Order: sequence, then structure tokens, then C-alpha cells
Amino acid sequence: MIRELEAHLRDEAEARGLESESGMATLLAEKEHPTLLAEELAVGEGQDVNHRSGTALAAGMIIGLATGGHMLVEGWRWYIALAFALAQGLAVGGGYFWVRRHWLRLNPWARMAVAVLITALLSIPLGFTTRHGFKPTRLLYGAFTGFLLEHHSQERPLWHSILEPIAFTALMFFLETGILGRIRFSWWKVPLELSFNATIMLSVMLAVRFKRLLAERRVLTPQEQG
Amino acid sequence: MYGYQIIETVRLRTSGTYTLKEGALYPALHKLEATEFITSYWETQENGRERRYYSIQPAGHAFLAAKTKEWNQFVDMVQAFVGPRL
Repeated sequence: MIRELEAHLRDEAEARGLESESGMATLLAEKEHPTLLAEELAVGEGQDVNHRSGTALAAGMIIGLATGGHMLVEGWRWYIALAFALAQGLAVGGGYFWVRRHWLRLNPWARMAVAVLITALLSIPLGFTTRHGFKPTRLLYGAFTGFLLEHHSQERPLWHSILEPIAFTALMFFLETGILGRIRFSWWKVPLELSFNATIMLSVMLAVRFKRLLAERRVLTPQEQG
Repeated sequence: MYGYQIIETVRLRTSGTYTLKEGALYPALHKLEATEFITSYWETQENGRERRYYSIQPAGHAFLAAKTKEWNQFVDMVQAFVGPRL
């Protein structure tokens, strides 16, 4: 913050052609008292950090509750559903929102690649949410969540939201039954898997909208919220 | 844009009527950055000085479009009530 204010003063001094010490003293005399300014900025910084961490956690919880809840309804053991909810929600969802600001300057393709990679890594705990040891394909659910979070950070046509869970379901079946041969394909498994991936989709969209709503409330002062 | 440039742009566009203070600008910029409506980066100038630039994000564009629409609706409403300018 001090670095930024110093840069600002130098820019203003340069623009006004102030080069001497007396010129700079005149400039500083026009400004708010540094203590007052520092206090305002410090309060703002603290609130910004609280907002970022609070909204990341809340948005991640939406994703976690939705996916964990779906697993419970499917008939998974409660502790596996809970572990999945925590890993998917806190690690993947919350983690993504917490670190996203560090790659906002990248071009869209690089942002997507980083989002998918980061969320895949954050979802390593998901690989342990099985009864049969570590399952690496679980990381794809984390990567899919990261893809959706980044892709839907902007408004997208409705057909994207419809196609994405269908395409991911097809990919998972292709991997699990076709390539890895880990499970036997059955038609009754398709709607189950599709509904789970659609739940991820819907929870991501809800989390993004919720976070956007909180952001708008944070930016506007109470008088402006109407 | 960088901080001083934003202040000057506002001052020029409002013909000197409105002057942003640093104490108003920088908390607002940091708030907008926390909400990911804008992002910032440091750049070193040719003279070796560093400057922090801010750029708007897609979410910021969407928010700006929504608020601009609201503002225009408000202005139209007031204009309709007050009547045409004499």
C-alpha cells in the first residue's frame, strides 16, 4: 500500500512538473493526513481479506453440500459422502476461489489450464473417498469442477450448461469401462452418474452467482444498494 | 489505468467538478479487486519507476453494464418527472 501511494505521489509530481523539495512539500500539504489515510486503507484491507475468505468458504460449501448430499441419496456411506463433500467443497471449491485472483491476468486458455490443474491437485483427497483405496479418476471430478468454475465465471449460453455434464459423463464412462475396465457398463448407471455431474454443474453455477451477489453488495455502499 | 491516471480522467471528464481523493480511490480499487471485478499488476516504467495498473475483468464489465442500465433507467425516470430541459 505504501509502495502504491508513493508511486501515486511520484506520478502526480511528474504530471505537475514538481521536481524540487518545496514542490513536493506543497503537494504533500494538499493531501489527507497520512495517519487518517493509513487508517482508512488498513480497515479496508482487513475487510477485503474477510470478504475473500468468507465468500470462498461459503461458495465452496455450496458445492460440497450439493455433491455430498447427492452421494448420500445415492446410498453411499455417510462418512464417504461427508469426506467427498469436504474435499470437493472446501479443498476444490474454496481453494479455487481463494487462489483464483493470482491468475486473473492470464489469457483465457491459460486461466482455464491453471484452474483445471489446480483443482485437480486440490482434489487429491477425493481419490481416497472410496472403499477400495486410492482412485485416481476421482481427481477428474475436481478438474471438472475447476473447469466449470472458470468457464462459468462469465455468462454462457444455456446449451453449455446442458452439454457439459453430458460430455463429462460420457468421458467418465469411456475411461472407467473402456480404458481402465474398472467397472462394467450398465445402462442404469448412466442416469445416476449424469445426475451427479449435473449436480456439480448446478452447484457451481449457484456458487458463482452467490459469490457475485456478495461481491456486488460488498462493492456498493448500503445507500447504493437500494 | 493507474491510480493517478484514474483521478485525472475523472477530473477531466467532469470538467473539474468532481475530484477523487486518494483516500476514496484506493480503498474502492482494492474492494473491486477483492471482488474480482478488476485485477492489478505492477509494471516498471522506462525511468525505472514502478506503477500499479488496474484492468477490468469480464465480471466487472457485466457489473458495469448492469449498473449503467440501472442508472439510465433512473435518469429517464427523473427526466420524465421533471420534464424536458428549458
